[in-house]
Amino acid sequence: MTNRYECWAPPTGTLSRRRLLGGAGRALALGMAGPGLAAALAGCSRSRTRERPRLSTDLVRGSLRVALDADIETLDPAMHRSRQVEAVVRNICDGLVTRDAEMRYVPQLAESWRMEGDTRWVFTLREDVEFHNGDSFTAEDVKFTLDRILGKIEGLPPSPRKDLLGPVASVEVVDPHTVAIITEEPYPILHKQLVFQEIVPKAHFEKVGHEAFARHPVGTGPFRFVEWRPGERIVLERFDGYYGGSPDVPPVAPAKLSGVIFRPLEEAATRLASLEAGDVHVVAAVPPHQAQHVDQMANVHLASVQGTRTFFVGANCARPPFSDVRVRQAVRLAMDPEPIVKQFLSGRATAIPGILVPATFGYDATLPAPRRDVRRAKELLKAAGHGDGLEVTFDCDANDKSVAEAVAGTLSAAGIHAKVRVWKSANLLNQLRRGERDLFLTAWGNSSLDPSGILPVLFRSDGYSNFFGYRNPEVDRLLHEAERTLDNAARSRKYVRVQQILHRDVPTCFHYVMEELYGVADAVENFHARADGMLHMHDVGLKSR
Amino acid sequence: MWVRFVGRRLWQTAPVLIGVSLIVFLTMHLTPGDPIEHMLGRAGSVTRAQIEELRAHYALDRPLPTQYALFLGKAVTGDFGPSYSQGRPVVEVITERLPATLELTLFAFVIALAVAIPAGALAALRPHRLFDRTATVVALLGVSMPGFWLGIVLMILLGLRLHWLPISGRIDWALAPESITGMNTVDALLAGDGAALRSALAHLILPAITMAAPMAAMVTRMVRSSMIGVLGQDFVQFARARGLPEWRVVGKHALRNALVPTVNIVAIQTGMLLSGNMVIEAVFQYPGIGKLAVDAIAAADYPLVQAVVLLYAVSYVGLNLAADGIQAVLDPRVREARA
Repeated sequence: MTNRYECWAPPTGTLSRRRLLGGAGRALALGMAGPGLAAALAGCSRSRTRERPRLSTDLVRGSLRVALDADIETLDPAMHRSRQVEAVVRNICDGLVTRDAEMRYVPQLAESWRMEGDTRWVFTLREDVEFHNGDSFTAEDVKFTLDRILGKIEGLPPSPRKDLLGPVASVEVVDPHTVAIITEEPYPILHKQLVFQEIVPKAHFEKVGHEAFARHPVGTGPFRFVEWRPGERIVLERFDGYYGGSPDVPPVAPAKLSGVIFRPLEEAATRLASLEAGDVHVVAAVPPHQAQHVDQMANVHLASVQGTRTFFVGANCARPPFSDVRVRQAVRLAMDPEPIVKQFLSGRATAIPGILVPATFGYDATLPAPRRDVRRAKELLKAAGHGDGLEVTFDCDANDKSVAEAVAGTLSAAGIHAKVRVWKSANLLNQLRRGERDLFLTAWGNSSLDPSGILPVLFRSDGYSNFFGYRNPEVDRLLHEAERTLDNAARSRKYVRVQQILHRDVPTCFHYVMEELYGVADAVENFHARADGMLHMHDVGLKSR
Repeated sequence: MWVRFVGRRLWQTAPVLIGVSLIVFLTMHLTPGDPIEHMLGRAGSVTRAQIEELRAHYALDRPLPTQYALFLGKAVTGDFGPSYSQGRPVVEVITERLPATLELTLFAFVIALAVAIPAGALAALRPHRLFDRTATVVALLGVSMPGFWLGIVLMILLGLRLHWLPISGRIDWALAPESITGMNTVDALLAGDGAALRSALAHLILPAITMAAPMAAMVTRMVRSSMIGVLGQDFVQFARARGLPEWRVVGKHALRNALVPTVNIVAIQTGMLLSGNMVIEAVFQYPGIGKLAVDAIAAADYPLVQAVVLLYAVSYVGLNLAADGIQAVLDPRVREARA
């Protein structure tokens, strides 16, 4: 079958229906729209002279279709902080390091790495790797990618991913397949943090510029970019020249799927309707209360995994009434998280004792599970001078309203009368940062699964998201030291100590983590819900119907 | 004369656009929500230094008047800068989405007029009879129903219950006419792809009807009243006295005259169509300018919001200008008054 999208101009000589329609359509197109369309047409005819996208009916029909819960704003690996963007980009661009489905760190474009001294990491790169445009992958590309994120390349906007490289100071090309990364201070988690950076081809990037690259990315990944219709879909096609990916994640081979189509469907109801109708194979972000409905759909199953975002009730330790630790303890004792999250999140959430999810490095398994004790809570409140009861405003995001109301309900038994106030997410965040709220339910994500990705930002005195006005010099010191401790056991001990202090000081309580839920058609093979929310399609297959 | 007329009108447009941009600028900056917060999300180890650096890069650390002056200085040259959330030039981002919105607006426009003009004319022929009264009630409903509500009702009824029509997007997953004009129906025609054309049309029907409803209602009422006025005039009596068939009297002589005052309301309503698309595109997840605007507002993407709103303002002003021009062409009296 010839590919009709390669060229829409019909063969000369015969007058076909298609030609007739084509001519009429073109006249219509030119006639009915104004200058905007003329400009668009001009733009299109220019682009036709460039390499043509290899979009074909066969590709579109044979592809795996994935519905995302948010629109994709850019495909530039360095210019976003969006999990959905990362999930799409990760199929196009590989990184030096990646994680398998169990969140173990495995080499990808790096073959191996070793440390020279405390602050110099040397990465040996694979030699058999090509970018989608045919360029060879070398150390120069690694240096360029990281330098750009560090803000060392003139004329490019600053990357919002800079903090993910911590104290990285410079990148040095040792030889074409060896690169050294030098950090200002010892940085024990460098290899883990490299999971968040995808390598771009230096020469190509410099040729097209960052704006064009954001629209048409090129990488070394299992799929190459074909088409992006903003707001509609992104089409990727298998890259036959793929080196096979990490040797630790078999099979080491090109992708099984001929292509993948990502489509943003922001309304959960629309996503599920599409899944039920068989229009889509994988649906991200199934709401917990719809999980059972998805499970009961014909030819569809549910894939789930515990997420990496911790929800919690926070208290403002910098002003009364919660500046008194006894009042904060009373709040914790007044509640029983497990039944609340089970009931209001359809059994798809788990109460956890502290801010870290159990899969995190340095997780303290000895923290006691929360236990409700209303009598003790009342005693503590009385001792703190609130024997007659306490009136507070309890703020939350619109999404968390039902849980917040349940929390408020249980608090009243202990004499804490919390009035729930609901906000649009961004608006509440601003006020939390300014320390203007007293008691609130919010969340913070940490897909690095390392304490350094969440504890400093929330609990250090100068933490950017220290919503609690929490100041503890010992915590500051321990966090500072832990980030620079190369010995894993010693580092882990410091984080355990921080968790214990936080448990004592109670800036947060009522912690829970939700499951990441995906609706998956039974025709899809080897799809795993991943804690980090990535949608690695390299090993996924599709049974032909 | 034409050059002077158009020139004067365009000159009058400048203060309108500056006023619009100032109001948008102030509302965006005074409402909560911060572009840098949106950029960085709610996860990970963001630092304060990083925030300061990003603020400085986008000049968000400067005083508001300075920020506005910077914006205006570039905007007059057509440079709206890069979008905060998408990293590409705002003009490019908008141009990509424009064909989708043009296509939808055009369909809504055609539907509205195709319903309104015959309905208005028929209602005027037998005022206060059954058809007229029915049309009045339907028009009242059309004007008073909020777009998002009508949209959702149509979605539930025709989409989810009866499965007649798709409820979101622009075209089926499996279809891909090559993007030439960006308007799927036109592209499908160009490619001679019948399936793609059907799918694109099916996806347009619900949002286009939702969009067209208030305009159809207003225009029906306008055509009706102006037609009643015209039908009572001497030249209509004369035409009838000459023995012309009724369809010619009504369809040619009366309707044409009745449409002159309607042009203005059509222009204003077309402007409303454009501004209404924010709600309707969001409801139907239709990836055009309106959806883009809603997303940009949520992301506090100041440059993108500014540019989209100015585009709305320009098209509104342009439509009014066009209405005046068309009126002048249709009615010599208007032309003479302006000369």
